[in-house]
Amino acid sequence: MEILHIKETSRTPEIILNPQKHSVEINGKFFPENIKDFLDPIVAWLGEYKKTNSKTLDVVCNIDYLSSSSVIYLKQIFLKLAEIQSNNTTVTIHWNFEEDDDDIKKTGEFYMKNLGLNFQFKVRD
Amino acid sequence: MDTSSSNLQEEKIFTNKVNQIKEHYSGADQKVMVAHIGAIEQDMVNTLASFVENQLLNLGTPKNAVKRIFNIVIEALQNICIHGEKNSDGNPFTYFIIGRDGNVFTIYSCNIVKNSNAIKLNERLTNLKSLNDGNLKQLYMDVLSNGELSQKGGAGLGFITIALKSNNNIDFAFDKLNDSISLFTLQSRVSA
Repeated sequence: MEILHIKETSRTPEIILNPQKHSVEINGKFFPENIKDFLDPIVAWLGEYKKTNSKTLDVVCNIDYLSSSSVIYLKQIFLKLAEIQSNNTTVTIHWNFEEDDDDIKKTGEFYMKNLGLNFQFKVRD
Repeated sequence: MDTSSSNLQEEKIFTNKVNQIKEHYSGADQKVMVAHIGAIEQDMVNTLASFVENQLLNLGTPKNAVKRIFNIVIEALQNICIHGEKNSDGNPFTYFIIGRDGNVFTIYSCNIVKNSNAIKLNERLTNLKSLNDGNLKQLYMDVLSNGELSQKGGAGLGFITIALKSNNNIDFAFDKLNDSISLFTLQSRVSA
């Protein structure tokens, strides 16, 4: 599998999907014109990654902002991660947020509770 | 009325709305911070939102209030881009204005909606406005749990987000332009 590196724009975050390092990195803001068009290639990549039956997958999220449609559609990413987890891969989501950012924190808590994923919460420096 | 005079009448209703807002901000402490009157396209969302964010930070507005206003701005602009209709002249009758009255910031937006959608939207917003903070948060979670994107890319969370971020200080109106369309105006207030 190839590395997929999506560069940051003013409305979308940087995303790095690295099959060699078994890692996913998400850094930045989400308020794209069309969240589905933006996230579907990432959902597809994760679908392919699942077939590699890796032992671990580390997902590091440094998200600054999520528009309402992005919050909803992000579920597709977490559903895919839950599928990968059910395939005996240990998935850990490092959910980093700014100290006073309740919205981002609660979004992580919501997906942790609802999809049974392993989240590690940390206040960002 | 023929088409041209009815369209003039529509334009008058729209212009009156804009003037009412401008008149409100004529005192020393009352300023219009941003006023965009005319079409709003997707590629302008970031420019407008970043401009507002920088203006607020320059004023020394607390970060928490800047964030809340930024949230409302994004949702209001996305609503216009996704759901705004046009009249028979192709005019979208859209505006986006932020007024400042001391430490109270009011975000005004306007677009055309079909009358057939106005009824449902009015019911939804009337219901939202009646909810307390706990009920609003519960509704947000319910929609997040069950929500799917519509074909237009809306999620049903936009107005709930605006209500939450303004502590439910929202007002809205529907002014009928003709038998098929109405002007939908929305305002929300954030105290910094």
